[in-house]
Amino acid sequence: MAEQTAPGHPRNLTEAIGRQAIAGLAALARGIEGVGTGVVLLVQSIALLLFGRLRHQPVRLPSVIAQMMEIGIRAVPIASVLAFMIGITLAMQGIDLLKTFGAESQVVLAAALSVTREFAPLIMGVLVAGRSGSALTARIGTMVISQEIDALRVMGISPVRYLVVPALLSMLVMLPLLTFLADIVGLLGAALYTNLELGMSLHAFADATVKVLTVNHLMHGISKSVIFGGIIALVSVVNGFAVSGGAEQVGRATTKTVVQSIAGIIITDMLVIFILTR
Amino acid sequence: MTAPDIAMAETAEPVIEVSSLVTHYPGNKEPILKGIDVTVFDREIVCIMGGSGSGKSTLLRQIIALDKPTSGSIQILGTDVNRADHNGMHAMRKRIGVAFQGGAMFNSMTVGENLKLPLREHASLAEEQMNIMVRMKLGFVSLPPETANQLPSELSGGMLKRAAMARAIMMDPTLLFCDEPSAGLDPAVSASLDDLILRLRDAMAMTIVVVTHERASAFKISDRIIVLDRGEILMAGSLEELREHGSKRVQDLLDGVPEEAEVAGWL
Repeated sequence: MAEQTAPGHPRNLTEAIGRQAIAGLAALARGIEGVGTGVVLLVQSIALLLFGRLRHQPVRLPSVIAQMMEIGIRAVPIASVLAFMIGITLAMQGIDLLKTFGAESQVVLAAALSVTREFAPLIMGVLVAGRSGSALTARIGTMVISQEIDALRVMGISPVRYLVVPALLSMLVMLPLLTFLADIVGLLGAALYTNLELGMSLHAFADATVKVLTVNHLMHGISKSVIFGGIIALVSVVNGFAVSGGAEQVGRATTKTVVQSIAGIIITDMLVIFILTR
Repeated sequence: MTAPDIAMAETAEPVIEVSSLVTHYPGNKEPILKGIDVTVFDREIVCIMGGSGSGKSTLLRQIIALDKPTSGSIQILGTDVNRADHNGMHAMRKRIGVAFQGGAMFNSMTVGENLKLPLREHASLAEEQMNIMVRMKLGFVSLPPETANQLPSELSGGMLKRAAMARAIMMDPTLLFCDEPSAGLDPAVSASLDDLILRLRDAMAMTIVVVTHERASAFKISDRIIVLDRGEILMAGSLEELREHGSKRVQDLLDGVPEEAEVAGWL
């Protein structure tokens, strides 16, 4: 009689490796499928933006504005607090490290460049992924489960036009704006700390900042935030539309969105810096 | 075509013609629908009945073009839903209404905004005109005008189904589909929804297709009943034909009696 084992338990090391390999391939296939769906949604969104009116699917401005309010305007208080804290933290670290070389006054250079080029887009990306990306996935996932997406389709309303395009547009516009806000508030935090620690006036800090910062530095961070916005929007909608089953799946999908968006942001950040610094 | 089909065909136009419909779930070799042929005529009320897993909801999803079949054709109001271009589908969509099982009302909007959505998308009406239309349709489904200001989550099960019905008829469709309209409701509310379906057909000259497993409801509202079992039409005909049908399986399905093999599986 053949040896009986529980279905979940491999009988030997070879089987265990085989199962892990199959599970890994399946996960890879799902990942590729997700990327494919994201690309299709992006292409459909662009097509609907350009030609939606001709296909009886005009993108409605009120729904875009509503999304912009949710993603951008309502995030201003928390974005400001985070950026302010980051500015102070960078000033503290900078002064402490530069003290070793007796170059504390160079903290302006360190803060201005690191806030605008790196921290503002990165922190705003993480914030929007956690706050708005997860909410978007939960909204779409719940709509899938409660047949609201089906209801849209039978009413002749494209779910891509109704849900994806406003979210994508809002992310592409509001994340750079939040990043610009974080640039200003972050530098203000750094200036205030520097004023307290080194006695450098806010005016002197602002003057030094203007001298070291170029439009290129600002655009470096802001252009990255546009890419981050696209990544968050697409990851969120792909996970939202993939929901099936019940409320538990919505929870899993939102977690996936946050993890995948943050991973996407960090990997993209690294790649962009690599390309731009060659 | 059955005898009532032929009788109907002499007096009314077919509005739904499904032929040789075969459907598979992705990755499944066994078809869910195995060559279904259905014809629904103008101003008919047709109920699709069957047990769980019989394929009735799948058939409905294919007919309303939410899913694509493996093979076969579906004509709705003269439009081949599998071959129509974007404009053809858009025109067809405007002429059908669907009331989903759970209502499928948009929870972030008030009932009034839910009802206005199809009007905003397909008609160029002023806000006041839309408000009048909303009040009219709410009245038709016996809901008070104040319902327009409530959120779907604030409605009872019966009110939610009525509100969903109101949204489905906002564009005065030629064809209305109702998925399990009386599921989960008490008998009195269920009976009032049956009356509403009959009123919709008589007052608004609609053709109505109802997917249900409630025998009493189906027998009250139907002109014809289609009984599905394991993806095949077990029987299609008038109420008289159904009552006189000798098949034990048909009677068991109508009475909700499980198959012996199914019971053995539970034990």
